Amino acid sequence: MQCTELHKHIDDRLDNQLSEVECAAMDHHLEHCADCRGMFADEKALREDLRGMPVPDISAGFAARALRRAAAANVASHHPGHNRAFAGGFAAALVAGIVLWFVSGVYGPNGELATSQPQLAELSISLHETRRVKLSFNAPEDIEKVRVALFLPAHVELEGYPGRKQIAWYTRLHKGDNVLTLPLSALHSEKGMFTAKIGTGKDAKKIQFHLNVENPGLSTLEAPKSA
Amino acid sequence: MKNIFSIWQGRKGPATGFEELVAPHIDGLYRLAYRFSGSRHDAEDLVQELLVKLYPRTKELGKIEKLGPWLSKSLYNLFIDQARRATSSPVASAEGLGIELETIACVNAGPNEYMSRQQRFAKLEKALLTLNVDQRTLIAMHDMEGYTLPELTSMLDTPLGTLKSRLHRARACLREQLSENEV
Repeated sequence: MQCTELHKHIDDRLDNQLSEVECAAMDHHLEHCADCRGMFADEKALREDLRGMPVPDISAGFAARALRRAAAANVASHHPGHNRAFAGGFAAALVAGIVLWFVSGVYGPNGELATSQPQLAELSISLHETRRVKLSFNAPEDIEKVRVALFLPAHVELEGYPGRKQIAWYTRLHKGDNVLTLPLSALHSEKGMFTAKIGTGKDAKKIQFHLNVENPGLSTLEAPKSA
Repeated sequence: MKNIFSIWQGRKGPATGFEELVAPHIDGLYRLAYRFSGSRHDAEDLVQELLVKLYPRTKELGKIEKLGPWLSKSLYNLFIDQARRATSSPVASAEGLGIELETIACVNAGPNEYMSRQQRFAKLEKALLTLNVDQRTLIAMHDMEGYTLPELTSMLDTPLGTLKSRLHRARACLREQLSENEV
């Protein structure tokens, strides 16, 4: 292999486009030609630099925001004939299937509370423990786009979203039961109202329940005094 | 914690919702978009616009066997369209880039090596921004992000020989630009 021929094939070599025979011929030439060796090394270093160029981290929460915006931007183009079963109102169609239950993340999944009037429910969780509250929405058919909005009381946080008291996003409902699991953490002892809304625009179903945060540590601390 | 935005548990079968389909690819799309644009802000804008355009095509996305390459190709097409419509000077874009590069942490490198690498990266980025859009995107996909030539022939609907020629010319332009900047 001559120098000019080698120069033409450097890209192919670095792109793994040469046969073993061609690679051997190139290696043989490189062993004996300092100029070509230098050129090959420079080209290889350039490729390594290109591959190693840094990419700054994506902004925190970008993916979730981008997905929400994509959904929101397409609200206007929503097919007018879609979900004809909901002509009488989204909330009215959804209301019959709503159940709400509470699952303890510590004591197992059987401490559920089921009610046909979830607005009246009162749930208790312990301070500084994460408990999983599940909301179930029963939809009579697939729905491409619904808005889910959560409103948390001041003393409760959704795990992974510290400091967020309102969280909303767009998603789809499948026909049948759709279960949303919310890991809730209590920040301090207090009572408050948790609200979840799901629907399309003003036509939304609202679920509310009282969240009562208990502090078992208080009774433990008080015990020595009474003893 | 599992992202609550990909909610509705208890379902089996292939992903059909937009979030389920696209969310796993967003980081990769951003990375590629950054390679194209050289700016985090522009990269995020590009990904955002792509998602907005694709959202109405959710059912179509669900039928695509290899969604990752398909999304990359869509991102490429969108960037090419935008770049060809844009009137801003690429040199002006390069000015802000050095600042952003300085904010990127360099792992496993001593101070001297870090500075040397940063300087090389800054020169490379400046040189890349002088290339035309086709050359820059080709180098970004192949030399920076590691898409193979066979993958690119399929993604870009371009014969292998043509692709190799374009890459060769793009690298020659890049080397020439780097040499000029050295002077």
